[in-house]
Amino acid sequence: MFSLQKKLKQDAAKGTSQPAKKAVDLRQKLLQKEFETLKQLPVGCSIHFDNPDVLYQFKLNLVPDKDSLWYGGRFEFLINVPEGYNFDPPKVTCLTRVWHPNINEKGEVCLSILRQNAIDSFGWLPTRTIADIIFGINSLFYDLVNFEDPLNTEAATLFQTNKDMFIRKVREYISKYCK
Amino acid sequence: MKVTIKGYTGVAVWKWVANDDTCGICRMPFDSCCNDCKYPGDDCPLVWGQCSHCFHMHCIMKWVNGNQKSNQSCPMCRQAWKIKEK
Repeated sequence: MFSLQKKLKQDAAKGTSQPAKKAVDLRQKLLQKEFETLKQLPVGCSIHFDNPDVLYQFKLNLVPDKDSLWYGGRFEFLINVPEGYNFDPPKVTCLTRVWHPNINEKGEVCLSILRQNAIDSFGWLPTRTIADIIFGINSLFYDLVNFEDPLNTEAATLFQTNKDMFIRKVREYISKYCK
Repeated sequence: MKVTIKGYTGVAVWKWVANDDTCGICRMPFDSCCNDCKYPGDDCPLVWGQCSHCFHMHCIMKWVNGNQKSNQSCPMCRQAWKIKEK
């Protein structure tokens, strides 16, 4: 995994001249169109641009409601849209520490539609949009939370063996890390 | 009365007949071209898959021939992508 990322970075660094230009245009064009039509976000979700001129990097704020195990928390995600969008999926990092089976403590997020190389058939497709990703991340705090195929195995095991303890740990993380 | 036509200018319009208005990959209208092309029409044709989904040929080829093995499927329905011969 890491060697692939390194290679992609090297390629991106090399291709500073003409060929990369077209791909930037496509990403910019698609994002402009998408954000124009992006009206309905899930309840509790909002997006913010640190730099309003840069559409390919933005933050998602997520405040789960009472139906969620993470009620009372406030979680921030960083979404980076690569130059190769929409052939390459956006990269999502969770900036808030959270006790969650599908988000590890480094902030890596395990969501099927974000996977470039999915062995199963649920990975990234160029027909997917930023809205699909926001709805996907939001669902990780509701019905899409997956204890069977976890990224944070410790969290998933704790949920299966001691649900009360799991919830206590979720609350503990929220009071410690959610501002 | 005798009329002599000295000249005329013919005008024609064309459009793709597809089951959708826009290409799901580049999200441009079918009657427009993909992001890599300048002129729509025969220079940037449409193709239909056996699953009946339709894309700009350049768009679906870019996706199917990408370096990901898992991309051999239709981005709309995930069935194996095979071009429908007409």
